[in-house]
Amino acid sequence: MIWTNAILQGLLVGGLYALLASGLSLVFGVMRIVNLGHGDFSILAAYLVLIVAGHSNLWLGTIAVLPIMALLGYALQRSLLNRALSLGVLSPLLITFAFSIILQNALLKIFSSDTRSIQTESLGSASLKITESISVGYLPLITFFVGVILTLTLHVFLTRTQLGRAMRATSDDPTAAELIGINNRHIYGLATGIGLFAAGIAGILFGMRTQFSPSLGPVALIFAFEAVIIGGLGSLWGTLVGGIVLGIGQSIGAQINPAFGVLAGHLVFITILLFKPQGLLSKQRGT
Amino acid sequence: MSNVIKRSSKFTYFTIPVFVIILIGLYVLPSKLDFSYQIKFVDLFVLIIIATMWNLLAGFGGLVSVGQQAFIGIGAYSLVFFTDLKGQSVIVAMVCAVIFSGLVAIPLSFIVFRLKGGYFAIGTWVLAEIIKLIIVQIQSLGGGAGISLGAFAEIGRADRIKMVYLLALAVSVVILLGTFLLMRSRLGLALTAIRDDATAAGTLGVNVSLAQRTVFVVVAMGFAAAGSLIALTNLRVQPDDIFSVNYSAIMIFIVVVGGLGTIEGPILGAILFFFLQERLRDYGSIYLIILGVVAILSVLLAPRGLWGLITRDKVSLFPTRYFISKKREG
Amino acid sequence: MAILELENVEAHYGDLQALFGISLSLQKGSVHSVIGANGAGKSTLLKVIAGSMQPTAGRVIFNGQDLNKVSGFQRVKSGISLVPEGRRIFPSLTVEENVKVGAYAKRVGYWNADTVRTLYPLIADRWSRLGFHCSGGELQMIAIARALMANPDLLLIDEASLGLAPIVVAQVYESLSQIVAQGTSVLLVEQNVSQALKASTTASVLLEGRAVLTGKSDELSHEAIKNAYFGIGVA
Repeated sequence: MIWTNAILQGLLVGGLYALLASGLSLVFGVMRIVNLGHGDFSILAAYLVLIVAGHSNLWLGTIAVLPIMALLGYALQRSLLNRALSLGVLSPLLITFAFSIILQNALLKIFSSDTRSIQTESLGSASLKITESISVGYLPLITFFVGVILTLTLHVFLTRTQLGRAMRATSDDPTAAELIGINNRHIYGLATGIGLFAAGIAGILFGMRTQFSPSLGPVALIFAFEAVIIGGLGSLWGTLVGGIVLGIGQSIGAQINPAFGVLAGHLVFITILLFKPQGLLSKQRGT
Repeated sequence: MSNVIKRSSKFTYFTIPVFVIILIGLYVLPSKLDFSYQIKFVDLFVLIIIATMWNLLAGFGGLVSVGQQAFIGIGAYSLVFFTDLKGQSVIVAMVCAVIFSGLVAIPLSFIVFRLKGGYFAIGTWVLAEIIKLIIVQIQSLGGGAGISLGAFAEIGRADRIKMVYLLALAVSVVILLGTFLLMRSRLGLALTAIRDDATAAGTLGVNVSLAQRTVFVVVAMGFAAAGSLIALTNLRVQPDDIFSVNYSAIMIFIVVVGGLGTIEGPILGAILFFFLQERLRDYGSIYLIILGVVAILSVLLAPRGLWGLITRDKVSLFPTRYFISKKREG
Repeated sequence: MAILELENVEAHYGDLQALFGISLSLQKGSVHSVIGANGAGKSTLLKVIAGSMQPTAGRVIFNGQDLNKVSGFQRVKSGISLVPEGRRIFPSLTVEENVKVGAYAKRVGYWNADTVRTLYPLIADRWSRLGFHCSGGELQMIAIARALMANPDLLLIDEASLGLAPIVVAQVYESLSQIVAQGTSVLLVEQNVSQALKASTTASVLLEGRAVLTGKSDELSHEAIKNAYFGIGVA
């Protein structure tokens, strides 16, 4: 029973990881940029909600912060990252790493290193009783479903909408995309906007269930990255599966020894990297 | 007239004597200056070492890593291990630490080379975190609280610092000259080819993965040397400090602002950073924010760095490329 | 009425001049072919018209509008579509998706996902196949279909028959008349001289970046074209 519970909890955490990872994965898929500041942006969203919620209420805060994150992503892409893209492969990486450093230290300066959390009144601690010994928190359950829904939404967006098609076309061949009227710079901006939007959702849900501090950004990035690699590059559903596998790995590890949880996840990641580097659900594309 | 291919630039006749003079000056320094200044020089040398190594990996090797602090940490802990726990002298211990780090880098390279580009970068970061997590479990190395270096217990402070200073100077020279010679060698040529177009290089017979792996291992050894020097200076190794990603932030800043892909760039960047650090040290987090902003501006506006800006790519004190000059016949 | 006018257009690749004082006038509803050897500047000319490349001198006037400040992707919205050399179909998109994404510029007109399939039945057969898996001939038709989905007033085709089997070339050229019938003017770049002349109303011969011969396709003599193409007797 303990193990079933551990697996279940791991599954639900996996939804959060998938949420974190989907933004990272999308941005990489569209323009081959790995945003090293992705985790820090998600933590930023949590802090922003803290500020807004402090003045009004939580749900208003969430509704206000998410568009801000999207706009921020769009603006950063169009002003800085698009330019870096034309300068070679090193430049976007260096710039996003600088984002990470700037964000962490800015948050540190403003909020100090004390841990905070987003207060959710009853939702945070309420739980659903499934059997005698297994119960799941509402929040982890909601997070998991949000993760699945976001993955589904992104999938539908990319495969069934004109804009999604345009994004995939730009990813395949930016020059040819321009020939059919696509403004690449705008598409890239949208991709990063969506990426940070997703990061924001992840950060806010994360902040509701755990204590967070500015130094958690890199940790979030690492988990998102491991989820992407475990699941397989180029596959949205793979990212979901990857997140779940990582979550379960960590949970089982923590069950063996509380200090072992994160390391167990790392070991799962390394094992997949060594023996199935394309990932569990890899989709090798044409290019 | 015919074309002659030379390997030295017109500055070589200037560089060599100046370099020797500076070296002599630095060697003699400890007898003239108070040890608090010597410590500052050691800091500068360490900065030059880690920047030169990161530049070798990224600027010449094309491999961007944000996890090299893994090897700084391994180097530091290995030094403590070999002196305190194995009773070796400081120099022997350092050599052992460097070799050990190189050996560890070999299997690690097989793991991390499965990843490319940005994911390679994060992968190295993950590796650093994993290594930290593992070391923290080892009680004989101090666990989470860290470990102190007892090797210098009998030596007086002034003598200790002088020794560390000279060691740091020696290591810096070895690393700079080593990098210089490496880039002038066949491996250096291979690396330049790989960086330009890995696939094309492969078809020309360059063993891409071997070349990259070699650089990865060599660089790991350089970082271990830096880590050992840090341990010798601070007399204490703490996991959160020695494995901090801030080291990566610093080395990247130095190289990007100083000049990626040249040997002079990291030296210039390290000197610049060193003074900035002195000025801004008291401002805490703000100084890292400023570094980040300057780095972004540098990447976008001055891709060749300060060195490239100043010299407009016309000056090469440590020439690694080929130069064509015309020579009269007869 | 002239749908496209080029006035003394010049273009450079760095220091290398690729086009010298090209002037051209294309009448609405007609097909104009640009013939020439490799390196004559034909593709460059199309890139300048499509906006992927900026001219260093001269003007490109489309439907009376100077395209000077109009960037490449914006010209699609204005009504110019380019089928590039090498076709450049999106490999990870299916044929269906490749065609449908062509309508991104949202211009109304006769061409849609159904009518292009009527034009090229072969595409309908391959509808769910990935772009990556299509053959040369299929790629050419998909590329033209994709460009048509933007309902252009002017269709530019670069190297229409390059690398294609004769039977496919015939099909492609046959479709041109239907395309023109629906109101699109065509500018065609070709190395295959006879095909180009048969299909076009007017033609130009480019030699090393200069238009050395222009005229009505049926009035240009074989001899004149040959001389122009190879630069025999041309100053």
